[in-house]
Amino acid sequence: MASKGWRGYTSYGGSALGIDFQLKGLDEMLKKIEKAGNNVDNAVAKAITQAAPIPLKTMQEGALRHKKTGDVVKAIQTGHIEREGNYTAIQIGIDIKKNPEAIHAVFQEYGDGHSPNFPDPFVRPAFDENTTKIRSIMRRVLKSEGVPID
Amino acid sequence: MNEWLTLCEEILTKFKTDNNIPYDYIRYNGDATQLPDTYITYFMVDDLGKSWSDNKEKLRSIRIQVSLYYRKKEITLTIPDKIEAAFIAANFMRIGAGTIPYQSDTGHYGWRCDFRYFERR
Repeated sequence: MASKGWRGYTSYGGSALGIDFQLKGLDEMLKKIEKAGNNVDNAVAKAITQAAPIPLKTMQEGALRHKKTGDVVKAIQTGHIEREGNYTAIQIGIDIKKNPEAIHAVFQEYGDGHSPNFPDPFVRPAFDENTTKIRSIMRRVLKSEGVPID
Repeated sequence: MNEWLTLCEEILTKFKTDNNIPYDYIRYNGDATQLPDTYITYFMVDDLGKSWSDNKEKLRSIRIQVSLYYRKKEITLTIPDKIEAAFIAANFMRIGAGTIPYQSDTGHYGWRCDFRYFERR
C-alpha cells in the first residue's frame, strides 16, 4: 500500500487533503487470481472498498475534534475506485476544490504557524495508524475471493 | 526527552545561527501581528510502534512536519533545500513536501516537509 495523488495534486502539495491507497505487487497477485479463475479487477476493488471505511472513520473523528460548522466532517468522503493499468486506488479525504468551505481543514492538518488550536493532524495519521487493520481486511477479502495469499 | 525531539532542537538551533531564521515547537508563540517575516515550526504528526519483543516496544517510527513561513517569496529558492539537507544529514528520511495556503491575515506563505525518524527504545 502507498499514498499517491489527489486529482493532480501530490499528497503533499497544493491544498490536497486526502490519501489514496492501493495494492502493491499486483503483477504477482494477478497471476494467482487468474489461476484461481476469478475476476482480478473485482477482487482488488472489493478489497480496497471494504478497507476504506477504516481510515474514513478515523479522519471523521479527527475532524470532529475541531467541529464548528460541520463543513469539514461533511467534506470527508470516499471516492470511487480508480483504475489505470494495474494501479487500482480509492481516494479518501477532502477535495478542497470541490469543498472550498472546508479550507480550514488544511490548517488543522498542516498548521498555520501561530493559531493555538492548530496543528492537529487527522488525515495522515488516519492512514498511518490503521495500516495493520487495512492490510488485514484486504487480505481477508482477497482470500475470500479465491486469492491464494498465504 | 525523546531522541527525535533533541535532534530537531539541535538541527534548528544550528539552522537559526546559520540562517538567522527563528523557530519554535508546534507553533510560534506570540501575537499573530508580531510574527517574524520568516520563521520555522515543527511538530510530530504521529508516533507509531514498529517492533516489540518481550512485551516491550523496541522500535518506533516518528513522523514530523517541519513548516517554513515566509513573506518574501524568494525564500523558497534556497531555504527549503537547506532545511531538507539539514534534516537528512541528521538521519531523518524525507517523506514529501508541499505548500501551506497563503494566510491573508499574517501575509505568510507556507512550505512544509514531512520526515520520518526511526528511534530505538
